[in-house]
Amino acid sequence: MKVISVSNLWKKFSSTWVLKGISFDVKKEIFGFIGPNGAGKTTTVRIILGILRADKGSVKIFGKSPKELSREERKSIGYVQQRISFEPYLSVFENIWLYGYLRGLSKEEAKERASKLINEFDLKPNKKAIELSIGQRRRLQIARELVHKPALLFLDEPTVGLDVESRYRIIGVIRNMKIPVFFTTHNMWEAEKLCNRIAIINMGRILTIDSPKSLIRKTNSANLEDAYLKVIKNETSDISEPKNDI
Amino acid sequence: MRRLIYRNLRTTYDLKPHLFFSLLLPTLIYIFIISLAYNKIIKPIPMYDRYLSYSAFFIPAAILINTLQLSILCGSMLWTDRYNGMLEQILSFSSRAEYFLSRVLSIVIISSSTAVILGLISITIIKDEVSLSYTTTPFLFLYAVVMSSMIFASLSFCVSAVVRTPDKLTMFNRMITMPMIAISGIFYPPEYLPSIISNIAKFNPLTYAASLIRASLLGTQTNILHIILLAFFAGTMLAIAYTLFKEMDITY
Repeated sequence: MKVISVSNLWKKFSSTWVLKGISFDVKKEIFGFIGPNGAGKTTTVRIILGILRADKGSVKIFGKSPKELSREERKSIGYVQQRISFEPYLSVFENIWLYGYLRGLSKEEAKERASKLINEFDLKPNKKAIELSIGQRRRLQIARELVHKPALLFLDEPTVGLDVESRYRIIGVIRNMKIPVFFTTHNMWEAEKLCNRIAIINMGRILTIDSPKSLIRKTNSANLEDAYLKVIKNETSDISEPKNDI
Repeated sequence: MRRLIYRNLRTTYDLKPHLFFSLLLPTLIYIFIISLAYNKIIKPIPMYDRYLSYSAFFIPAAILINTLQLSILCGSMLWTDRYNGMLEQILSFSSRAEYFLSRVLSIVIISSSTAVILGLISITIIKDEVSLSYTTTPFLFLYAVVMSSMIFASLSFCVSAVVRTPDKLTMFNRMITMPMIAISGIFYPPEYLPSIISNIAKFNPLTYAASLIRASLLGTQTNILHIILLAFFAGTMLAIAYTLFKEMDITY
């Protein structure tokens, strides 16, 4: 079953096309969306979530366009933004339980889940979010987006700014969740370890969609990083600008 | 919606614990110091069929200064959410309409609560001239405060949706609110102003809000047209603010 279906998506900012007709499907899997800075990864996530509007093309989540999703369906999605987001003057505990409550959990249920996640992510419940280090803020952000047990999770470069230990911890948590995950990253090691399939995007176009193992084999590479560089180098020169009639 | 309002109130309280005191203080100074001092040097003001002391004329309307100052924080709160990444986060699971309405309603709750506190304080200061009615006073008082709050919350949302930096937000809010207070019926009857400015006051919702809030506490005549005009201003401002917010870039 397709959890996300993106078809011929185009998006322009000012006079620049940042997405040029991308298409892909995400099943019940961890789907990696890999590409350099400015490739269009975050824009794609925002369009799928209905935060941004596409200029052309269609997006379906659970078989519906983002606008058609019911409140409950929207609330069942988790979204870890690339930038660290938090309520600065609330405590760690309040930051987590409040967003569980906003997403439909009862107060008691949200508080129970928050306590569990605080232990799992090794956070201090009474500390104000503004007093946390960058790594702790990132862990808080991820914990907050897991509080309601999401049915689908978007992770937009979630391990940026994390130390190795925290990165391992988060990768372990993601791997054990058994839910569909849309995962954008720069880190090929993470993508190789975590993702069932990956799409490589560059300059608004998807260059390839494959499993990490298959891509490594097809490109005669030692690892995913090597394979990624080969794909990017081969394809960059072939990318042409879209027609003006879009 | 109810949960979003709860979140807005919870985060506002934590964001600025000194907020209510800092915003109540200027109005309390107006009520206790300035109006009582002016009372000695300004002769009674004719209003409908009676003469009002300057305190009685000014104090009810001074509550609206507090309403205005609180309500324009709505735009700053939008900016804070944008800056902290929480606007994008909230919009990933709720609509722009829900966020917009929850923000406006939260500020209406805050400004109405403080207005009621100030109203009760005011009654004790001008008790000799107060004329309360169990039926009309609560309705007119809350109507004037709620409509004014919606208008200024919407106005600050419009400014927030258009400006690109928080510094400009503060600057534009001051540029808009100062003349609106000056060209209204808060400090003096608008008909005492030069005729051009007096005509401008007719397009200022504060003029009608001031008239209604006086009617609520002093028992002066209620003008139905003022009730209708205030609702018209509130409806128009809400529609403009939401239209601008719908198109606003939510990233920072």
